[in-house]
Amino acid sequence: MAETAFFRYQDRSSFLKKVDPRIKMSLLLIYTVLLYHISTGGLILLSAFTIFLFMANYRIKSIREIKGALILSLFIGTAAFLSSYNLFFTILAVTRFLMTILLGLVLIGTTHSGEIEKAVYWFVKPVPFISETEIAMRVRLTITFIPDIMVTAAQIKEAGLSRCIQHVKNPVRKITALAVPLLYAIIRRAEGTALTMEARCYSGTRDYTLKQFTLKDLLHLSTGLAVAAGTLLV
Amino acid sequence: MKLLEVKNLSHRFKDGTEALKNVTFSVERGEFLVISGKNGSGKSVLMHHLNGLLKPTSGRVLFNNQSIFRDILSIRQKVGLVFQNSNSQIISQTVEMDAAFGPENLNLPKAEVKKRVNSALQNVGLEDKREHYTRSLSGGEKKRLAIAGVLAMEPEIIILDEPFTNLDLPGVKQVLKKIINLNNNGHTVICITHELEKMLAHADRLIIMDSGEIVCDDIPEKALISAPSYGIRIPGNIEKENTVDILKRMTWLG
Ligand SMILES: Nc1ncnc2c1ncn2[C@@H]1O[C@H](COP(=O)(O)OP(=O)(O)OP(=O)(O)O)[C@@H](O)[C@H]1O
Ligand SMILES: [Mg+2]
Repeated sequence: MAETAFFRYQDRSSFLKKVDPRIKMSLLLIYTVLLYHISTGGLILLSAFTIFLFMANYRIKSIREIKGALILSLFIGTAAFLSSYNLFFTILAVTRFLMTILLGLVLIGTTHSGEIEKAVYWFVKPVPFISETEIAMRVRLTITFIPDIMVTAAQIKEAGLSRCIQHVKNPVRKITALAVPLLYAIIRRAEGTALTMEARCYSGTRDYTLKQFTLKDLLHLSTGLAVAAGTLLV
Repeated sequence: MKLLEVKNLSHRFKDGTEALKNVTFSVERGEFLVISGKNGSGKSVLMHHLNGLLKPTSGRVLFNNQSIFRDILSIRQKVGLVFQNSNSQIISQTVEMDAAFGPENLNLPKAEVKKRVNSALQNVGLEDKREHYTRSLSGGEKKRLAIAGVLAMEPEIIILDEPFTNLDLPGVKQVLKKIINLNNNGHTVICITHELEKMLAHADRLIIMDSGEIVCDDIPEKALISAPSYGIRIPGNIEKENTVDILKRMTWLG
């Protein structure tokens, strides 16, 4: 029933799965920053590229999966329009938001959380005074659990509906009826996971080494950067 | 030879619940032990003590005659737990990555991790689904993956908490066959369950718990006699029938 797993790893082979996670994450960062700083022409080019990546790497099983993102963009669109009364500005704002989501989906869809964990470790390691193992594991768990949390939220909502939550008029009560059990479920889930991780010998001394960079990686990176440069030139 | 020994174990939670009261028993190497008891009798709390996830209020747990807290990391590798809820046991996105999580934590060489993952997945019949997304597995497949994750650590003893919940007939058969197989290959197995009719016929011994205490510890045909008085259902009437005959029916295999 409540199988609305958004932000999920795609279980099929794709070209991007073979690209080094550090390169993918760096390019994601660059593209996201560019989205909000380039000219309209550049934005069109970057959006086309993003949509291409998305179509090639991520498969949406049903429209319900992206319902949340669509509703949010509606909100953003409304807010942008009300603050500017400018349709063009509104379209730009919504496009930027949607492309940010799509880029995130492409990364999550093609990169295993274990690889993201290692890449985060690699990025954070040079920064003094913070624990790279801890941050890396947290990022990994968050990514793994986003779909779970969404499914749980949907289940709690259905449980509320089946017990006539729609008759409740008080909006505060309506929201707490969803939020409180959800928060509780997330905490329970986190506790359970911490316990099983301990049972499975997790102690922060894992092997975090990623493959050495090769010429192929350089090629991937420069292709990605070329696209970025292209959007700046338009 | 005694592999695991529990001596006068008690556990009181902060809220005052006395979940375990003076529990004492031991497990022989190669044994197939079943622990049963009604909801809330303390089975899961007991399991959490067996590899040090919970610390006893009093009493001790010994593995190979040594306190488990001497080298808890190596104990966690030797005592493999399969939790009641497989959803919280699975923490990776693909089947293969999840099976590798434990061995990776042991810092084994990559080739060794790979070898163990392959053999564990083969062992539970998931080798064709190694690339699959773990959230989309069925209940039985998740349970088998949880078992594979434990097998890949090559433990000496495997403890399963309610391995049959939410499984259909083929699912129960698969998991049960797996458990029996492991035991035949020399693994010590502890199976915690209140669904005795599904598997007791294969066990060497039965422990019954009630309100945090062990109330019976005997070979299955004898222990069965007291099972109904502690709220455990058995497929037959002990007043009219010989427990040996009842026991023969207590399997979902065949
Ligand atoms: N974290 C906790 N804090 C307080 N009490 C707890 C906690 N965990 C378990 N208990 C209590 O300890 C007792 C034993 O619980 P346990 O989970 O071991 O039961 P169980 O035999 O595994 O039951 P089930 O068949 O339902 O799985 C119960 O009364 C339970 O309420
Ligand atoms: Mg239990």
